[in-house]
Amino acid sequence: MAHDDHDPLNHPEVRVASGRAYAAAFLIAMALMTVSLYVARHPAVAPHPMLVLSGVAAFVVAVQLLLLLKLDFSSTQIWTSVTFALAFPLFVIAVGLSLWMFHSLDARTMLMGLMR
Amino acid sequence: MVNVQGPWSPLIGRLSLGAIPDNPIIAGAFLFSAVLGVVILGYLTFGHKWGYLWREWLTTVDHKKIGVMYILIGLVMLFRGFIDAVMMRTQQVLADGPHSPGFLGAAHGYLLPYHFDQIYSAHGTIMILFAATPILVGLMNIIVPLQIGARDMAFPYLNALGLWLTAVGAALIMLSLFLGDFSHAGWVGLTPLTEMAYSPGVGVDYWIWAIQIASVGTTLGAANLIATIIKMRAPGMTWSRLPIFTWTSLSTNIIALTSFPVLGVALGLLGADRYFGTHFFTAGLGGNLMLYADLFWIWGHPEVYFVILPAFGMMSEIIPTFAEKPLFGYATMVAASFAIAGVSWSVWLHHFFTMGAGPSVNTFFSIATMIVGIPTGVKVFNWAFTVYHGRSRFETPMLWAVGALFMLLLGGLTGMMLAMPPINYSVHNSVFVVAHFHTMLMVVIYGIMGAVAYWFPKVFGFKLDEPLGKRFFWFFTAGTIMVFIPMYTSGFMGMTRRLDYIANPALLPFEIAEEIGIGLYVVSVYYFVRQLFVSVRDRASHRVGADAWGSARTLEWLTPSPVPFYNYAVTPRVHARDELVWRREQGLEAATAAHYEDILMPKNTPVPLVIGAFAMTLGFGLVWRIWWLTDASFLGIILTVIARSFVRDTDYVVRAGEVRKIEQGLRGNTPGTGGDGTQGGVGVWRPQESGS
Amino acid sequence: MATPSGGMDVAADGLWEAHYHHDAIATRTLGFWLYMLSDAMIFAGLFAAYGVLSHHYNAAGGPTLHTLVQPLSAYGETLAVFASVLAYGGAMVALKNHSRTGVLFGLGAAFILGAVFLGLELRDFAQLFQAGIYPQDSGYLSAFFALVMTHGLHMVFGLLWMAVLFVQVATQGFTDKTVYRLLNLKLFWHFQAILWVLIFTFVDMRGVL
Repeated sequence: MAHDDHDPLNHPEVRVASGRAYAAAFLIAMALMTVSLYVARHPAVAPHPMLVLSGVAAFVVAVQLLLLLKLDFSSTQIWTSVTFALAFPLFVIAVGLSLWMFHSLDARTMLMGLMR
Repeated sequence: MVNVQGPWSPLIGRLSLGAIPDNPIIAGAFLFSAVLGVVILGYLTFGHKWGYLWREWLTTVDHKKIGVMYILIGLVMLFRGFIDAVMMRTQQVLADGPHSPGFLGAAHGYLLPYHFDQIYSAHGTIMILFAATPILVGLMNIIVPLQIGARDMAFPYLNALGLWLTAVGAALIMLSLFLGDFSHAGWVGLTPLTEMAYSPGVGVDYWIWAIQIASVGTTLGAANLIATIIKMRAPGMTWSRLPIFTWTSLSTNIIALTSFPVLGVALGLLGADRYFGTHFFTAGLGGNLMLYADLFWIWGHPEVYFVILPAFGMMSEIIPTFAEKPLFGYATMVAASFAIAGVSWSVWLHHFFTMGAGPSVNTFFSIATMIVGIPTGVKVFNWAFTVYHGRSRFETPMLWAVGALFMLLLGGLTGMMLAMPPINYSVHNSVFVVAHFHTMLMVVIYGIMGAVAYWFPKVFGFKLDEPLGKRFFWFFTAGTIMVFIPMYTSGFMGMTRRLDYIANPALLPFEIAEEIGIGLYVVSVYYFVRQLFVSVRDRASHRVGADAWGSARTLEWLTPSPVPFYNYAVTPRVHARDELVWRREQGLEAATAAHYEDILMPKNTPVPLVIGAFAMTLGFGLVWRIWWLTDASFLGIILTVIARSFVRDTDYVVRAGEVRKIEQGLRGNTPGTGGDGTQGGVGVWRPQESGS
Repeated sequence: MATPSGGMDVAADGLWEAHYHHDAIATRTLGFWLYMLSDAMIFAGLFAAYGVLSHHYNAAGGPTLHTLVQPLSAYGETLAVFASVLAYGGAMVALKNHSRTGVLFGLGAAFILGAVFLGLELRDFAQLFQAGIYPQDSGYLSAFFALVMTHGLHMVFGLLWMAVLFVQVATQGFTDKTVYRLLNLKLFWHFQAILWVLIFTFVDMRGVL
């Protein structure tokens, strides 16, 4: 736009940037991914290692959504958060129900037996 | 890369003279298209219309013109899909029983099995993705910005890009008619039939790339429309005042935005199987062919609601206007739209109940499917209560809306039957299923036809001819009943779908009835074309003012008809859910702004058309495996996008004085004056008039 | 109220809103965020395919995750991705402080770290191909490669975008267009990092287990 007398750098989405949040997100994510690597290589430390890994991944994703993408209910970010909240269940449904139906199918067609 | 059967050369890929089919039916279609093409090209050239076409249409970013072009593509493809339907019905009525005659080299009927398979595949693909989808997208494109008081879509340039990508998909399908062949694996593309081993030709590739390219356009359009509704509403247009059509557009585009990418994955992986030789959906080497059905229907079922929700929105606009009452149950209508959109995401297994998943899985999906009936039932009762104690006028749009209601009832009830796995197992793959989903899609067609009649005067400034419109409606409805009621019956009698030859002669009476039905459809199409012709010819006597129906309720009827390119000279402030009714009650219906201001509008640009052209050569190169062409086209797209991002001056200013002049010209354009002032609107007829 | 000609005074009745403007930057970023959500659904489809096809019998007797993944290489890629995001964050903070050199420096660092990620990933692929492991060998391998390569392809386009934007910020400074593109690329780049967390966990770490 050629006739703007406003400064795009004063936009709230520019102002929202925070060095501290970026540093925190980096440290938390890196630390937890290191934990994942350790658990994966030494599965004996946890009773259900895959469950632990999934939990850690979910936590890291949440941290990144909150600290990097700044999903919150402020007037700047409300629509980002709402649209994410509407779309995220679809991701889970698409993957989860697919796995469930094929698990059920495999069990009934005795393909599970081929795994051994 | 996978080795292909037959000749291949680096220069022209799989292309050869043998790719041109030598079928008399296709030759006839080619002749028809060629004559039509020559006539259009001749008109453009000798009428000196190329410049007009380029300036006003090909490079436009105006949401109304883009919408009109979407609808034109949709109507052309609707016609093509309809011809396919006529051919299928005729084949089935001819090829009934062992003593049925054969023509044109076919043992029974007049179509060879492989040709018949291509016809039903093309019919399904075209009707869903290239007829219903573009027409709905076009209508949303035109109406939503007007209903929320915006000047244009949030991203006008992206909007044009979506249009041209859709056009490329349609063009690829039409091209497959005359060069090579089309998929023969049904519109769903059953695996492993679509794998290279069983479909070595180019047909499946045409099918893949036509859908893939067009669905990119649809996804972009969905993001655009959602952003428009969230961010571009006029002041005072709160969520509780949003017209229902805009609400359904929002819910439907959330579906499109999230489901079309999964279709992209399904077709992309199938493409990987066909081009790279991977094993996603093959029958051996660890592939899983039901995974394709899963991914396809993760998109496929939401897509069904993607086409039907806007139709619900259209009915919700038409019925209150012609019942002259506010819509009953606004809040429940909104909630029902989102409930349908939400539930649509957990029902997709009902398209392949017979896969053999466990009882718990089938029960879950069966119950989820039945739950859809609750919000839909809410909607049906809301419409019924809107009409109750109203002053109903049965003009054409209202006829279509009421017709849609009955179709919804019939389709919904048979849908409930199909939602039960035991019934589903016994009628699976029968024409009962075909009749069911056609009845549901009739809701969409009825909604579309009603919406076209309803909003036509808004876009063009004159109404469609009423008597011919009514004939169109009644013949169409008679055709629908004659085709699909017998189809339900023969489905119950065990007739399976996609038959090029029917072994059981007892089914012949039903086939004859259906053939009569399709004949009624042919008559109805004649009246539709005649209606368009007569309305355009006599447009001077069909002129309307801003409120074409005298009882319209929502914001879009506030601005002049035809709508000027900037939509609203000054952004309106919204005070009520039915803003026009509010203004009418206050005596402010004809109030115009006293002061105009400069308007910032997006400039026309040929870039979307250029990207579309590259997408066309990309698709063509992929189908025929001409690798230099695909590489060059892909590079062309990327370089064009980058070059466009360096263009800084993408908008221009319309001065206040100019806005005043256009507005004054338009306000004089009322039925009494007989004026032909179409300044600024979708001026389809303008050059013709200036020439005479 | 209405004059015979239908003209009204704007100020008197509030029927119209003069000089009404939309927030162009917020509209752009929302539109792009919506696109990212649809992009996420591509990964939903690929994760579903990977989940369904990553059983032993899908490998058709060929290699499975355990032989495919290299945990330390994957860990290095994780470090590169997160560091690249951190560098991009630096660019965002510099943008807030009106520092063009800061933004260019951050973009450049994010680009280099992203390229490091891609280099590591390509080395992994090259090693697999050298060992005679190709996507064409089994459904299992097809799904594995499709998921990881699609993410890699996203990174390639992110880097291309970053390079173009680097030139635009350097030559045009901070206009509406360059600023919303910086914000959009931020969404894109951070989103790829989030997806990488899922791939790292459910492909690489699961393979190590």
